[in-house]
Amino acid sequence: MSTSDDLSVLFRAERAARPPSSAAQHGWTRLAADLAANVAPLPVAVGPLKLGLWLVPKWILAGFALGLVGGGAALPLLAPRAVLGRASRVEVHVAAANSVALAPTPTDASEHEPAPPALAEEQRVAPELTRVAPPASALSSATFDAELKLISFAKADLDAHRPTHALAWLAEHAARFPNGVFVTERDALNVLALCEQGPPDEALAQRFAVQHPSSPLVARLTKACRAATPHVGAPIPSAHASFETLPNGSGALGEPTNEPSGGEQK
Amino acid sequence: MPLPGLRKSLNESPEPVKQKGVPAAERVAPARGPAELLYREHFAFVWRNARRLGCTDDWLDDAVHEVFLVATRRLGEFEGRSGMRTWLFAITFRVVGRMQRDRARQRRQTNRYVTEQPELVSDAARETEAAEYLRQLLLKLSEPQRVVLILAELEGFTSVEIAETLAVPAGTVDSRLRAARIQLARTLERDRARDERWTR
Repeated sequence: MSTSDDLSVLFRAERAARPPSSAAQHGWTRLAADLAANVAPLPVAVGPLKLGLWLVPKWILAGFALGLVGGGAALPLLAPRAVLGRASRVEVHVAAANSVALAPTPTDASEHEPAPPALAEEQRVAPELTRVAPPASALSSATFDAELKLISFAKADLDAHRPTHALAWLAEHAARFPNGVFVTERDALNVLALCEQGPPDEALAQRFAVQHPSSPLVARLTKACRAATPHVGAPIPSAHASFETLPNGSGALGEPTNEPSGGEQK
Repeated sequence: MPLPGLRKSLNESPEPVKQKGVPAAERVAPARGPAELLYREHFAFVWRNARRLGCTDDWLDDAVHEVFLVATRRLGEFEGRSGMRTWLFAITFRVVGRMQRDRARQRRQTNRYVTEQPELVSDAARETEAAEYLRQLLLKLSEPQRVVLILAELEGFTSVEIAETLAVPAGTVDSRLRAARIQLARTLERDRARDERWTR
C-alpha cells in the first residue's frame, strides 16, 4: 500500500470519529448552568486566526501597537486619572539596561546601577547589568507571542482603567520572562499602572529615568505621575491617548483585551 | 432574530416534545434559545476539532465547554463574513492553545514536587487506532499547516473559506495544504521504516 493510500485510510478513520452519545447532553447541562450563573469565559480573541506571521513584521507591529517603539514622538503624554484605591502596590523593578532589540544602548550597562527592588523575594527580578542580544534561536515566535500577549493585556487593562489587572499581567510577565524582550515596556507600564492606581508617585518615574536615561518614555512617565493630581479647572489628559490601539479596537495582533482571571467585565 | 450560521430549521421555534409517561417534574425542557441551538448544531464539530488540535480525553470536555462559553458570550461579534463553523474553529484553536499553555504551566509547577506522573491513557473504546495515530501526526505539523489540513482534508472547507478564516490569500492556503500533505507523508514513511526495522 502506498503512502498516499495510507494517508487516505487515516483521514477516513478520523472523519468517522464521533463524540459519545451522552457527551452533548452532559455538556449542554453544564454549559446552561454556567450561562445561568454568568460565568466569565476565557479571555481569547474571536477574530480570524493570524498564523505564520514573520517575526520581523511582528516586531514592527508590536511596537506600533504598544506605542513604545522608535521614540514614540507621536504619543501624547499619559496622566493617570481616577485614583482607584490601591489594592496591592507592586514596586517597580527597572532593569539596568534597555532592551537590546528595541533600544540598544551599549553604554547603559556600565553607567547605571540598578535600583534595589523592594519586592517580595519571589517577585524580585534579578537586575541585569549586562544585557546581550539573545541568540536568534531564542527569539522563537511562540515566546515572542506569549510575551506580547501579556504586555498587550496589561496595556489594554491600563487603557480601560484597570491598573490592578494590568499589574497582574505585568507580574506574570516578570515571572515568566524576567529577561524578556519587553522588559523596558513592562517597566514603563508598571509605572503608569501604579500612578493610575494611585496615589501618584513621581519617584517611580524618577527611578525609571535613572535606569533608562535614554528612554524616550522618561519624560512622559514623569509627567504622567506628576500630573496625576490635576489643577483645578485644568482638563485631565486622557490616559487612553498615550498608547494607540489597533484600528479594530483590539490589542496587538488582534489579541483580546480581557481580564486575567474572570474579574470585571467590560 | 435569526442566528447566522444555523440551519433555518434551528432558527425556528422548536416544537415542544411530547414526553408521554414521564412525570411532569422529570420532563426535559424543550430546546430553546440561540445558545442551545448553537451548541446542538456545532457540538460535534467543536468536539472533533478540539481533539485534532491537541486536546486529550482528560480535558476535552472542558475545552469544548469553554469554546461554547466564549462563543455564546461573544456571539454579537460574529459578523457573518465567514461561516459560523470557521468562526467557531478560530475560537476552538485559541481556547485549546490557551488551555494547553495553562496546563503546561501547572504541570511545570507540579513537577517541582512530583517527579513521576502517570501517563494519561485515551479512551481506546471510542476511537480507532488509525484516527488516534493521525491526530498524533497532526501535532507534528506546524500550526499553519495543521489548521489548513484539518479544515481542508477533514472538514471539507474550500480554500476560499479557509482563507477567510486565516485572513490569508487562497494561494497561501493551497501551498500550506500541499506542504502539510508532503510533511505528513514523510512522517508516515519514516514511522513505517522505523517499525520495519524493529520488526525484522
